[in-house]
Amino acid sequence: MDTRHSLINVAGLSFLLVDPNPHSCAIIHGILRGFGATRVVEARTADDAINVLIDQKIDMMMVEPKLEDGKGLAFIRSIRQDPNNPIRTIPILVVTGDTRTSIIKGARDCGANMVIAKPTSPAVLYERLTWVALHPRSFAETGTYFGPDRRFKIEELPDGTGKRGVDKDVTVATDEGRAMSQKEVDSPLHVTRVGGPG
Amino acid sequence: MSVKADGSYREIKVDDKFGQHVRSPTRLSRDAAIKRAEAELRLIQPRIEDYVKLESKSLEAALMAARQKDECYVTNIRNTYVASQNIRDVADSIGYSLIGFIATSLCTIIEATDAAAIECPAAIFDCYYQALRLALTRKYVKKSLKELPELSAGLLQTVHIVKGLAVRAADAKTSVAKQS
Repeated sequence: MDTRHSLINVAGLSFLLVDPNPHSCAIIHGILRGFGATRVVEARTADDAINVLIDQKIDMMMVEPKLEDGKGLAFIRSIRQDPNNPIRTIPILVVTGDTRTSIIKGARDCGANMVIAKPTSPAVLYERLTWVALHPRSFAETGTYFGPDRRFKIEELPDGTGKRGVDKDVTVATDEGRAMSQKEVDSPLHVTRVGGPG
Repeated sequence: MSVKADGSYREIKVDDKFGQHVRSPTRLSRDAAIKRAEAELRLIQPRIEDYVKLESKSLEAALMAARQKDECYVTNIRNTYVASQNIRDVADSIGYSLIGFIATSLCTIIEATDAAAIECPAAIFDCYYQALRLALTRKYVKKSLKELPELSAGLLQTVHIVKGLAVRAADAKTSVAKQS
């Protein structure tokens, strides 16, 4: 999918940004406002975010994994794993400056739809939002995982450049690993169908 | 929502409100959306600039303290890491590329030394302290990395050196563990 000529409508949608850093939040908030979002709620902690979700209807979440005590990914997992949660399948983007492979793998395995590397830009955020909206992925449920199907074939990248040579070769390291660029961050979340379910 | 079950595996087709709404009529083009977002960022730029400058001062102090390698080393490294992370996450979004690069490189260095449980050489802290002071000057604060190839290459080299130290330390630990 080439997003260069795409159109989106985010006015009327409710976004929840969960990030302990108000300045980092302000940047994403500003970008979303520029895209036409009229309702963006901020939460600094996982507990604050839970309270927002109880009180308000949210259509998309962006979560920094490094909430207090590293609760960010656990927070996402708690939403995905609760079969009674009405927003169990809400799109969740992980937004992080820490792009070590362990973090990216953790984001994928807790059920995030996508990872966005900080610092982000309007162009990157636009492409990722468009990607999530125009490529709805099936959710997979196994004994240990509930979230967007981690095995999906990528036909074309959001920037319209087509599939990269590295897409099939991605393996997610088991150790902390090196930091990755946004393009590399996308790869572990774009693995092609090679293994078993989930 | 449709469900396809296969033993312990279920596949659930989801097309949520977010997707439906984003695809609905009255949409904004990519170029218009990005232009408007950039305008919004310009509005908050002074506030973010103040924050980056404040965090940079904290980072300077933390780097000076960390190079002492005294009993507060762990705290000083933590302070260096926190300030670096804070800068890394926002600096590039407002055009402070060099400061963002310095912070990103420092984060990588601290993560590597932390994972290998080694101390970072004091010369590295000196190097980053000097680079940060330079980056904060009016002449350099808004410069892009392309305009400063030698400086960015030098900083990258320090990352490679420290990563090499970390790998060697990890290898040495592994061989000691195997021998025992």
